[in-house]
Amino acid sequence: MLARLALGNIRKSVRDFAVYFLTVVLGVAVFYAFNSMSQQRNVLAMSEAQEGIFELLGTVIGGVSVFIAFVLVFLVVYANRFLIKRRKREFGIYAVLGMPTSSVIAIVVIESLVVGAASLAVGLVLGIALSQGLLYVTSAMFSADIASESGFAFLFSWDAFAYTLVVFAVVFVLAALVNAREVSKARPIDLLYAARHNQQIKLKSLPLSLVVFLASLVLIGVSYKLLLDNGLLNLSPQFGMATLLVCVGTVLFFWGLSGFLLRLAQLCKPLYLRGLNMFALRQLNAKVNTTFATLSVVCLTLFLALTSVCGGIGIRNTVEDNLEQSTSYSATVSTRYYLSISDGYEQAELGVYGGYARQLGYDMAEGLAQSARAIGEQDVSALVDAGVQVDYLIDSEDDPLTLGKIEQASDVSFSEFSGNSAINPEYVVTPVPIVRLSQVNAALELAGRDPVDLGEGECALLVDSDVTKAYFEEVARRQPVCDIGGAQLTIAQCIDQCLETTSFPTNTGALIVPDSAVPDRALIMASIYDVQCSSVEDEKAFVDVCDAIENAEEGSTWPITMTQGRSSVIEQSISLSTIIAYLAIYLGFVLTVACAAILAIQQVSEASDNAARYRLLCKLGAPSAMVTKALLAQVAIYFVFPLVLAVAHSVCAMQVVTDVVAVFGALDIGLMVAMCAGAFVAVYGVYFLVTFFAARRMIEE
Amino acid sequence: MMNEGMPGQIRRRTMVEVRHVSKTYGQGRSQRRAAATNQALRGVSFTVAEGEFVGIMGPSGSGKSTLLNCLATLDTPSEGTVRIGGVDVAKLAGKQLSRFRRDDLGFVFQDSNLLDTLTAFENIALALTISKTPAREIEARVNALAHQLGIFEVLGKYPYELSGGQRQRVAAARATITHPKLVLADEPTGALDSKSARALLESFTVLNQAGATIVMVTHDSVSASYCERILLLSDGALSGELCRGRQDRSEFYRRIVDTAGELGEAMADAC
Repeated sequence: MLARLALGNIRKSVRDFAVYFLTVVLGVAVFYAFNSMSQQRNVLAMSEAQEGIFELLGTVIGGVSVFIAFVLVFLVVYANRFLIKRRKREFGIYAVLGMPTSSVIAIVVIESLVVGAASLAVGLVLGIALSQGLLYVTSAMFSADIASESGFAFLFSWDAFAYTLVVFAVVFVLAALVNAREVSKARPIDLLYAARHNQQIKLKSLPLSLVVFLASLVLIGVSYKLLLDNGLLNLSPQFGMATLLVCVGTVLFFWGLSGFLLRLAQLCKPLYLRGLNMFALRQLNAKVNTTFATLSVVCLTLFLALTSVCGGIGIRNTVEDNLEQSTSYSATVSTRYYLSISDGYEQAELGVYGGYARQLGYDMAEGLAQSARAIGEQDVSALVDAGVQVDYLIDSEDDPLTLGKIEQASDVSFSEFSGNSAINPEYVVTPVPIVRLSQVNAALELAGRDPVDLGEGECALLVDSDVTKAYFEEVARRQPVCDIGGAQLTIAQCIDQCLETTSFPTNTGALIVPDSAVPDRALIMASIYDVQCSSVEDEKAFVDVCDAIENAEEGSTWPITMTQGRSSVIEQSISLSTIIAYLAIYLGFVLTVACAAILAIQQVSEASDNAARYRLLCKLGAPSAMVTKALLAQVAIYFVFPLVLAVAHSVCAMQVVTDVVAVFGALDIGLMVAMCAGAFVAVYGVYFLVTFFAARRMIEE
Repeated sequence: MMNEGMPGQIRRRTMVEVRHVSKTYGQGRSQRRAAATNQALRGVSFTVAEGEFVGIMGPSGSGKSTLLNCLATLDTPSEGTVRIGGVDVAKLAGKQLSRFRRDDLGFVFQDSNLLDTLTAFENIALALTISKTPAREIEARVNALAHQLGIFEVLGKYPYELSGGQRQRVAAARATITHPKLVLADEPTGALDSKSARALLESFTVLNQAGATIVMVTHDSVSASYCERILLLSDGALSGELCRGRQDRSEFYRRIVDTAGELGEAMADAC
């Protein structure tokens, strides 16, 4: 009997449940799909490195999912409370008719569980489909084919399935408990008159909301300025202040918004006294006391979602853009003899291997060939088509060229130029090594690029890191003169070239000088050896040989700090950035759905209160098109304003995030904004439409 | 049926013409419900002339509200026709219907049905903004009417700040501000104390003298005594008609009480 009543109720209020159902289905689907991602490595033909990355992805997603689970719990409980509130009268009638509270609770619990089970089932089916889609996305991104012969694989993860089932079972049980509590603590008299209680309308003083609104704009402006001035690189008190101000500003913004709009419209009588404009604005203003908190939370959450998705996709795009420049060679072997430390540099502990290198006159090609023979590996010269060595030198051991010296010579300060006071002030002692022009040009030729041309008495800056690129371009524009071993050289150009194959270009600055200008006492700080191989197999064999040399115990082998092959750099970069992008999308998507769902639920539940008002408008002869327009405006304002403010916050924050991401390379914002916008508008738009149509049906009843 | 727009002009123009109107609820919906049909109106016919103030009286269940809903285009008769200003309202639909309600009808409900989010001024102005009256005209018209009805001082207040009587007068102002052909009032004094009720009815008289045609449904004899003519409804059919003629209000009131008493006893016997 109770079950029949519960099922009947669900059927009756299927429209109320629609938004809730949609949200839970989306939540379940995304939760399952992302948690099943680590299983993709069983289906896709991946390299070992990629498999490792995917294991990492699985672990990270597992962790993030705990947070996501909390968001979903909040969302489901919130949605349930709204649904219950709408039906208080119905429960009051049950109570008045003498149904024991335990039975009313049973009805509510049965309802919650039935809807929960249905949405869980649909969500899982959708999730399996979605994970199948993600499989193809990964396959394309990682250039990893599906391992089976038919080229089709069905992906199903029991772990993710069980995890999803358990998490959502807990969510629904919690929701059912909250519902039961909500119903049991209410007295029948309250339940019956619930609707009437809500009708108490408190209207705010209009001048006050006007003042509050203007104050909120000022606060938000100040926080933007603080954030832009101070950046994000280290967490300064200003950053905390900016965060606080932007939160307070957002809350006040929504508190004052409706009053402000109302006042503004009232100033223009022909606008205010036209159609239902007056009604729509008053409608907004009447509800502000209950909605401003929701709107603020939604706005700030959207902001978080936008920033994480933009940042995530941005890192991926940035890494990909840089790849072409930083993978010009089949492989690069590097050896560091000196290490940068906080106040200059110190000799690296190379032991006997360092002596061996010195003995060979730091000739890497010869050293690698000998070492390979010594440990019985393949002949290196057979694997390599051509190789070029580039040495980074310290011009003078006691008084090396540093960033500080370049600042002095050019009279432009790095920290001031980059507008980032957060940089560690000790950067001035960073040594700027010098490189021989002949070696640079040989390396450029090997990469198939144009050589550098230096005039008499000139030198050039070489940089590939986005952190210092713009600064050195400014330095070169000023043509300062620096002293290298007694010779006066003019810095005439800034060369933005990456001379090695590397995961992240990290050359924050070196000085290219004519070979003749290299002082005799110059020390060798580091060497890189770029090679081109004729095939990927040769490249891999070469990297393997180098790794064997690096790990060899024999004394007369070359000291290798690191060997990077083109294919593994590409693989790692893309894998790592793909993980970041996936995570950001996962987080961003769930948060967006949560926001949209909260707005939708609130609007739909309000529509029932509003239905009487809208019906009265119809009785007064307002054409249905006019009424629909007023309803549309009302729903649109709720959806659009939090989004607009969140976008404004994000644009400001992205300026700052760009600085942080610059460590990985210049952030490519244009494309990703388009991508994000598309995805956001789609999800948000669906909720907007569902809300509008649900509200319209409600007032048409 | 075909002579639409024909003005019935014997003495005054006919504003409302109700011909053989019947209303049956629950007809032919399903086998199960067929037995439960309920005839709310049985062949009701009457006319209301332009500028008349007519009351419809009858006990609960006599069909008053159904009749008013049919006049108000909120319900359609099962049989018969309702013409208002010469227009057969059953033939209106969609935009025509909402334009008809907007321009030709005004409503006053038992609970004033003001929008709680709007001020008194805005509630009255709403009727004008819906019909897209120019903004500069709106203010002057609302203020003038509010003066007439004695609610000018409270125009800036919200409904919850007004007394019941003030609310009903605001509703009356909203119903008449657009100069509709017909004002329909459904138990407008039902929720008012006698003093407020009198003030509202006097407002109706003012509006009526200014040219408004008013049809008011009531079961209260005092309210009815303000009308020029009263149609007595019982068990879904017209059972009589009282004309005030040259009588003053208190004489008319006594006649109404006498008649209503008889009607009430007849009803009691029938049950």
